[in-house]
Order: sequence, then C-alpha cells, then structure tokens
Amino acid sequence: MSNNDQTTVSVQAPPDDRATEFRAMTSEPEHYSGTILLVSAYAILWALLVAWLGVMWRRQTKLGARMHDLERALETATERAGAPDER
Amino acid sequence: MAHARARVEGLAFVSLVAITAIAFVCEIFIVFLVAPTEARMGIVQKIFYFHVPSAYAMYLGATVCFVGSVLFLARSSDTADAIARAGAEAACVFGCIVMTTGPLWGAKAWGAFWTWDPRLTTALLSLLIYVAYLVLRGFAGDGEGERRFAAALGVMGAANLPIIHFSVQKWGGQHPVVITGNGGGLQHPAMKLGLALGFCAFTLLVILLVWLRTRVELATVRLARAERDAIDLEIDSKARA
Repeated sequence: MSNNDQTTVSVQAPPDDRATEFRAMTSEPEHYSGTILLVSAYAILWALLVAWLGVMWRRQTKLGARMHDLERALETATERAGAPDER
Repeated sequence: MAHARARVEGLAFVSLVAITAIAFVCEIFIVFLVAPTEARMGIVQKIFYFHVPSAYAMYLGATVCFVGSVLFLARSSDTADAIARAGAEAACVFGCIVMTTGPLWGAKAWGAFWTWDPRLTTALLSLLIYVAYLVLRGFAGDGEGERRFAAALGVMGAANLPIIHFSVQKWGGQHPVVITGNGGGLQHPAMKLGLALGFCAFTLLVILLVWLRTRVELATVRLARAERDAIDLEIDSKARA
C-alpha cells in the first residue's frame, strides 16, 4: 500500500517539486515517547524519595553507632568509678 | 508516662504509614487504570497527577520550614530548629521531583525540556534557596549563629512561594493553568479524582517524612548534648578500646 502510494507520488510529482537537497532541521523535532517520559518521571519520583529515606537510614545508623560508643564509654567510666583505688 | 506516650506515637506512626500506602495504591490505580488519556498530549499528561501534588508537597515542606524558622527566631529551641530543617529537606526533595517531572512533561508538550518561563524560573529559585539552606546546615556547623542565619533563610524561602504561585497570572508564560479557583480545567471526573487523591497521598507522605526527619534530627541533637556532657565529665566516647 505504502509502496504504491510512494510510486504514485513520485510519478505524479512534477520535476520542479523533487527534492534536490537535504537540510538539517532548525528546531528540535518532537520525537520523545510519552510512555518513556511518563515511566522516567515516575521512576525519578520514587528514586528521589527512596534516596531520601536511604539518607535518613544512614543518619540513624550513624546515630546508633555514636550511641553505642557513648554507652561503652559510660560503662567503662562507671566500672572505673566503682573499682577500688589501685594505688 | 513517657513509655505510654512513645507507644501512642509508634501506633500513630504505623497507622500513618498504612494510610499513606493505601492512598498511594488508590492513586496509582485511578491514574493508570481509571483516568482517561488526555486528548492532545496523550499518556504523558499522567505526569500531571504526580507533578502538581509534588509542587504542593514542596509548598507544604517550605511552610513547615517557615513555621519552624519563625518559632526558632522567636524562641530558640531545638524542636523548632529540627522542624525547620526537616521542612527544608522535604521542600528540597519534592522541589527536585517537581523540577525533573515538569521538564519530562515539557519535552512532549512544548518540545523542550526547559524554558525560562516565570513559573519555572521562580520554582527553580525556590529550590536553590532550600538547597542553600541545607548546604549551610550541612557545612557551617550547628552553632547558634548558623542556626539563626538558616532560620532567616527559611523565612526568606517562604516569601518566594506566593511569587511562584502568582507568577503565571502576573507575568504569563507557557506554564499551564489547569487548576483554578472556579472549578479547574480537568474535564473528566476520574481526572479530578486522580488529582484529589494525589494531593491526599502527597500530604500524608510529607507529614510522614517530616515527622521521621524531625525525630532523627531531635535524636541527633540529644545525642550531641549527651556527648558534650560526657566530655565535661571527662568521659571520652570517641576513644576506642
């Protein structure tokens, strides 16, 4: 069907209308797929939210580690305070 | 007493997580399976159901930051500062979502990812203010002066919000004005439902995330204070055994 149409067009087109040169487009053509853009937007949305949750998780892990250090230091200090003077 | 309060808080938090999850499931169902495809733009218009609520979530985060900042400036307190910081982070994250989903829609609708449209420019400015806030808090330390300066930045960031909102009416531009005071331009009930659910889901998400972030911030402040007290008592928590 499309081959026949092309043939018809090429036969019917007067010689003056034939393309004699190829020019680059001056404006950006609309070649973006709506589905890909939608999926990208949706993926970015969740990726950013998950990244923020990940940052919060990391902060909490660091807090946990600092708290552990403080607890150990307090335990050591308590033991030292409770122990008899060695001198 | 404190134990009972923590239990109630935990229960409220879990309930909020569950309600937010349900809201998002409903939102996704309505947007992708019920709401019709837009006649001119096609499927890419469905970005709208996340883009607009994200912008609204950014406004909410910025408002929380503003309230926290004003409270901090009025009466210096760790809670107000933690709320302001959490709000600024929410504004920044949702601002990033707005500034990425919008251009993806624009690529199809306008044929360009970015134009210096008044609304786009003012929204970018607002995002940069909150990025500046977070950079300041991240690198300048947690001294009283730094916190006051950040609070002033939080107040200034909120001043930009009405400018973003009314930029389309005042200066024109290409940005669509679908949501208006007199009913809006959504022509199908499922479209309206999808957007309404989006607003609900994102409101719940902002509340959840700001709450979570405020708790982390308050715990950090309390721990830092306990570490300072330990140092005053000559207990070195940084020393390794």
